[in-house]
Amino acid sequence: MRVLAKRGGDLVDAMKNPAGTSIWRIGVLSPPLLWLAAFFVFPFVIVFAISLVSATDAQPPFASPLDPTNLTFDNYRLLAEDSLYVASLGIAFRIAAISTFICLLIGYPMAYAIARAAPSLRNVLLLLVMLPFWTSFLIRVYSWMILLRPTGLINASLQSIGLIHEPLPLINNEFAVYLGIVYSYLPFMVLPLYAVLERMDVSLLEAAADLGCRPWRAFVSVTLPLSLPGVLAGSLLVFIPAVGEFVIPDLLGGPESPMIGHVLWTEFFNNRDWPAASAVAVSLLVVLIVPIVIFQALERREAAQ
Amino acid sequence: MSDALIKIEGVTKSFGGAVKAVDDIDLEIGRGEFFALLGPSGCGKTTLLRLIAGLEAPDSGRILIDGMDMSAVPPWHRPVNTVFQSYALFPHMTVADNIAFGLKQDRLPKSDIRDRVAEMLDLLELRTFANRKPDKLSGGQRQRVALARSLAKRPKALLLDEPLAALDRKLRDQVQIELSALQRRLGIAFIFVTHDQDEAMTMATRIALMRSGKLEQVGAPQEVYERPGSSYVADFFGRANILPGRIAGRNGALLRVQSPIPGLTFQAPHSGELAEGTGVWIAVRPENVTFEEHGHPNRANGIVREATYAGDVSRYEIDIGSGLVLRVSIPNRIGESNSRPERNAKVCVSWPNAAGILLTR
Amino acid sequence: MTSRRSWLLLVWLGLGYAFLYIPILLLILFSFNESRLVTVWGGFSTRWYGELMHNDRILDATRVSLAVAASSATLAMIFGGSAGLALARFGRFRLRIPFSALIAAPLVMPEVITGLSLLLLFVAVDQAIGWPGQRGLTTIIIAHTTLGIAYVAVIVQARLKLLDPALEEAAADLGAPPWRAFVSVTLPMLWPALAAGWLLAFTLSLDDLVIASFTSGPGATTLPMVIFSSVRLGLSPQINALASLFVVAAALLVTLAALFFRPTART
Repeated sequence: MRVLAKRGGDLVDAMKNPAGTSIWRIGVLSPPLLWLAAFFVFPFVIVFAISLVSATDAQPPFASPLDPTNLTFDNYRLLAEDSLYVASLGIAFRIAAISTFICLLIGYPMAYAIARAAPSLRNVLLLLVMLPFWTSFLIRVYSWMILLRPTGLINASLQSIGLIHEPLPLINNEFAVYLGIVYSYLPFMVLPLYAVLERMDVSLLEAAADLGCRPWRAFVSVTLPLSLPGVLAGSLLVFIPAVGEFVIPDLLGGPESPMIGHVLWTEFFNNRDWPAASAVAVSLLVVLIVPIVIFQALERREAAQ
Repeated sequence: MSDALIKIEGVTKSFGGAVKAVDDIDLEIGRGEFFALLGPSGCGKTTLLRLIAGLEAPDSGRILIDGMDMSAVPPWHRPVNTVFQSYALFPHMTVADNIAFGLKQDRLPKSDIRDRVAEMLDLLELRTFANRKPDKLSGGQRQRVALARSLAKRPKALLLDEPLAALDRKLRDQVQIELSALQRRLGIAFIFVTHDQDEAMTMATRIALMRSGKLEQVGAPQEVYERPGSSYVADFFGRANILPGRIAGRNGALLRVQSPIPGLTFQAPHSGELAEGTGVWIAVRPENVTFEEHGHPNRANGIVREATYAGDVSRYEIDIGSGLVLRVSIPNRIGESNSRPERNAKVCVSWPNAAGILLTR
Repeated sequence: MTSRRSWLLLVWLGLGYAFLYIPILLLILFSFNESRLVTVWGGFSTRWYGELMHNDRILDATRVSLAVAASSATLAMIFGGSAGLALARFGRFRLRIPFSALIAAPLVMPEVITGLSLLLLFVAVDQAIGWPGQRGLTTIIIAHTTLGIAYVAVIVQARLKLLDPALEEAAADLGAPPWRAFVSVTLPMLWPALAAGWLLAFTLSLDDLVIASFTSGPGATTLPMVIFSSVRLGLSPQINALASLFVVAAALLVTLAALFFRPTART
């Protein structure tokens, strides 16, 4: 038992641990490690496997990937050839990127203002930013539906005061999707930005002022560069999930701007083509690997500080 | 030391890099010693302390406490206890509960625990604070609780990590005295880590000076001060003038050393044999250097570069040529104000042969 | 900072908050609208709340959602707490980098990918060993736990970083092996963070649509799934009422979590 613990301990530790701690360490590390390996990592292997077979009418609706004769790259070929997939991937990227940028524009001054507020206020202000995030994503998107529809609140009010005579197309188009994504993901941008800005040493700005730097220049040359890790983290926290977003395009978007997450869902639930959906998922994952790796590297640097 | 309490044999420890925090250390600590691990930050003294406590495991070598090999013994089974630099008092427990913690782990009967806690409260004068939580105590009081908590287990040795670092100046002097008294009263070994050589000299019965993971010298305060084994040790304790030179021959019990200044030789006692021309250093303490013209055999002429009045002493820096600067320290006694040179004055400094310490490294 | 600039920032902050809150507040407002139409105010009424209370579909879904949320939050708290402890206290252990990457990954992964992968896992494993059989409560709980672990780990790790690691070393030095040190020293100081993590994981599970849609089965319809299918058909005043209740409940839970998690960092 002790030998096993020692072996396990060596596996786990880069340097020798005090006697008797190895069992504890293994005991603490194993549950989350094994759980996530089983329920997060391993599933990706299965997704990849199923992306390599064809859809069938059987239950479950795909050929067995354990039989090598079933393996084919047909699904990927379909993805590459069908302009819908490629287009929706590109559209998803475009919309996610622009939304991320808008989130940055709106969120940065907010984070800045909170970071500069009195310390006692800061927690309350932050909580107020986080609160909408936790009060149901779906419902918040739904609330925008109420506002944006042709018979919705905005159009009705504008019509009643006579500003417009026809309802504005505020929903079921890209505009609504941008609105929805920015609205839903804004807290994800504000939080990392706030974390970085709050930690910033105010004396740096005082030093800049002492050396004759005007406030705006000080911001651009001192604050902005130092907050870059927060900008990057916030942007990735918005961009990566936004690319695969489904609910917002489904409820607020229109047919002219399909997003890849929506395509995946439709393939799966409407067309019952699980292998195709898997291929879409794998492609999406591959495309997102680079931003995900950057995000992980950022996290590591954050942890090292 | 045949009956050493703690034997450290060939212990090495590195933290996942090429640099060794503790490099092949052999050391023995006796039962009633007040032992100091002294050195600059990064020298490995805290690591060595933690190795004794069992909070780190050595990469190689072993540690014996009372003859028993501690290699497979976890910290919760070792007969030593630690007072941490931050005191690490459990914030959700009262003073009494903190002190009782270690005793509860040993599954002592409740009445014994109560008695022992009371004993510790008395010993460290904490009676009135027994039911307070740590956040309601001052720094000095917290330290006493930390001491009481560790001593409650009657360890064979008490390990202290920078015990005076968190205290202000005035408290520090008082606590120094109290700790020494406590150690004498209890009779157990106290091993403490410090970077402050004054602290080590004042409190310890023996000092181990560490540098880059190795032991520079181990000895009683008087020994390391008056007979340093290297220029590093000489310069670490108090100030020292380190004069380079080459062996120029023997003169009875003394060795003659040719200094870089042409025509100037110094002498220092040395029993061993050293070949002529060997590069050596002579270390002289500033308090042993005087301004007497015809006083001592080791003489040099120079110009006063700096003169500082520091209350109880006056300190001077004398440029004697070839880039060598001698530091002189004269106590300011009433009635002896004649030999107080000013800046840029020409002076002659000298010291007795016995004050010279010959060093080969 | 000049007062004009700080005034500008405050206005921006205010507008930002307005942007975030007005839709929700309007939603709550219109849940009390007697009229079915959003555009017409028919007077204050709680009729939709009344109808909601008799809507069996919604009541069943609420029960399912609460059961799933409570179970997955508890599991996430245990596993996530473990992960946070390891990341905060185990220093540079060998598997640290892949481990922390693994913990952080569910935070950014698009939900359609996580949902699909979990569903396929359940189907494939069921084919191989006959478990978990029909998808339902168990599978959603597993899925939500996987998602929640990351959040709890982040909170626990952040809290532990503020606590003096010497406390656990002192416990060990005084005779407590790691498990007892954890229970007597770490846990009493950590439990608010664990509670906050539980509440957050609970809210997350309550709110999830995409992953639940992929991993649920017959008889295990969650509240968001019911809302979603209803919303796709159009607006419904009952949904307004439900949404408002949801919002208020979640707001209470989050405020509770924040109160727990407010770091009173005394070492």
